[in-house]
Amino acid sequence: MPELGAALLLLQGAAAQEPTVGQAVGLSGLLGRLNLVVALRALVTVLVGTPLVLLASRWARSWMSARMHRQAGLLTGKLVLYAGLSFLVILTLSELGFSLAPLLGAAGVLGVALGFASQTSVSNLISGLFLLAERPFVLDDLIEVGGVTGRVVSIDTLSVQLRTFDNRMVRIPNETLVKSQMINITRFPIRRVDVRVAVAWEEDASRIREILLDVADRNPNCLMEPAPVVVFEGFGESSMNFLLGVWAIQANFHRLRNGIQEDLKARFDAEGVRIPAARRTIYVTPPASAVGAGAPEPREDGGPGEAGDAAAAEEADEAAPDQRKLPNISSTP
Amino acid sequence: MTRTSPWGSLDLSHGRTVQLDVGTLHLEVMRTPTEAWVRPSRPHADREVPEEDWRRWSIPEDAGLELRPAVPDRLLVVAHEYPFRLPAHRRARVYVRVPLFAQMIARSPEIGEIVIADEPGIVLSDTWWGTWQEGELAYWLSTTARAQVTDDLFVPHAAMCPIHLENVSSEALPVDRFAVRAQHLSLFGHGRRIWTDDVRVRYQAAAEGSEIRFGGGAPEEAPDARMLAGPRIPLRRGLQARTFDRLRALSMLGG
Repeated sequence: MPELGAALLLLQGAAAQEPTVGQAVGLSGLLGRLNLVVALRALVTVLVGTPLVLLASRWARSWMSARMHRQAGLLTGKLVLYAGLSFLVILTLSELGFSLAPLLGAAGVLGVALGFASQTSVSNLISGLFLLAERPFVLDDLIEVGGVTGRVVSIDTLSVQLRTFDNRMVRIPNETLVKSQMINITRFPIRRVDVRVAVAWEEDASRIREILLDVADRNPNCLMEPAPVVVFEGFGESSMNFLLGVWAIQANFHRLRNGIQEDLKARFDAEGVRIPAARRTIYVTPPASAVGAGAPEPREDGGPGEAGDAAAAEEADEAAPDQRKLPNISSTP
Repeated sequence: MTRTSPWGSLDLSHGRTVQLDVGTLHLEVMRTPTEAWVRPSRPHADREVPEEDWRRWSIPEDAGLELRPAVPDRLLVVAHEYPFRLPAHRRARVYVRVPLFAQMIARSPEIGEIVIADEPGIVLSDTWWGTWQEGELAYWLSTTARAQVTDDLFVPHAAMCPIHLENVSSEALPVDRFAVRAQHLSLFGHGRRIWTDDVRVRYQAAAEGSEIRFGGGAPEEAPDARMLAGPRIPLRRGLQARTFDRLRALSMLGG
């Protein structure tokens, strides 16, 4: 450091000349000037270096994106940015006169401690490299992880960020993505919409099949190939159950899912196809003693009895308290 | 305004509206001194199409309007109602009617040519051409793929596409459906007949795809036809592409 040497010489010379108050002021001014020079050099290093690092990072990102893929570019850009900024910090500290040897020694000791402390981060970092190599998803893919569904907005060194449909950001550590089951919803270009339809038992199953296929055929968002398919899934408690499987390109998936159900409802209404409501018949058999004591008869509509009937039942219970029993209830679909 | 063919220039004075029909497409076009208004609708389509509002375009006062036929903007998957087999080392020439798009063009020295509407004459169903993992969105066209052309097959909203199939493989080629890359076709007019250029498909083997070549000129059936519109995507040479192979077993639930 020639500046520091010159400053020391100046200081020695000044001490030999019996300093006055005015000279002392001059010395401190000189020291201030020297510090100013050092500070200015450090400032220039930061001011020139930072844009250069940013430029290098941006160039690395675009270069790698052009040759590989977008997330490789993003990651490379970030690596260049962090490496560049670290170098800049070391350079600035060196300009300011800090010796790096003790720092590096301390960093070595600190590194061991940090190594233990940052196992999770290192695991995430390595998982991030695996994700980068395997590419189970890319930016803008729609993925589902641990019950969270969202678009991938960034793939970073430690985590992946998703934007959910209600516009929340979810950060998922890379390690979680590697360890857990992840569904990529938009990986393939076409997707099936499943529509489950229940119709009354009285309907003709083959006619229902024809209607379902015709509705699919008329919907402009439904692909002709893969062809729509109808599966008779079986008899439900009060209905015949069908599955209509139709295909759409990813961009039309929700349009088809909404549209085809509206089309089906309109068509069923037009054709007089009955969609049954769940039906359950409950038979209530009161105890014989209660009937004898004037307990209410079960009503055909299954509705509640009149207030007078309830009072009569209470009287009957009081009349034969030892015979109080729950009614037998059986149900049939 | 009554027109025998929907295609051609529109003599439209300011403040007037013209109604045009191409297939199931109904186009209303209105002109003001500085604007062109276009509204497509499909009152007679066999499937529901959402109603659209007027589309306004700001164009110079001296700009002329023209309705021009155009080839579809995607690949066409031609499905034969009566599939046939082409034996090894045999050739066949079939004719397929390609539905046309209607392009409304505004033209002036200042703006050159701009397309202010580009609508299909009939609404075609979508289909997928490719595999589960990759492929392209295409239009589905059900046809009988005739071996002969008669006058009654020509309609204003469709062009006749002559396809020359050649099977140079050592096995019979089942022609139940094939892809016509309609974006690369040109259109030629002769009287009220509209033709596309020749498409020559040379089938080598299932794994190798097919070599496809586009004639680029009027077909031999109408040598005097003049060009009405060029291809949407011009090709200098032919291309090698999957033409007969299709996604097998796509008809079920995707298993």
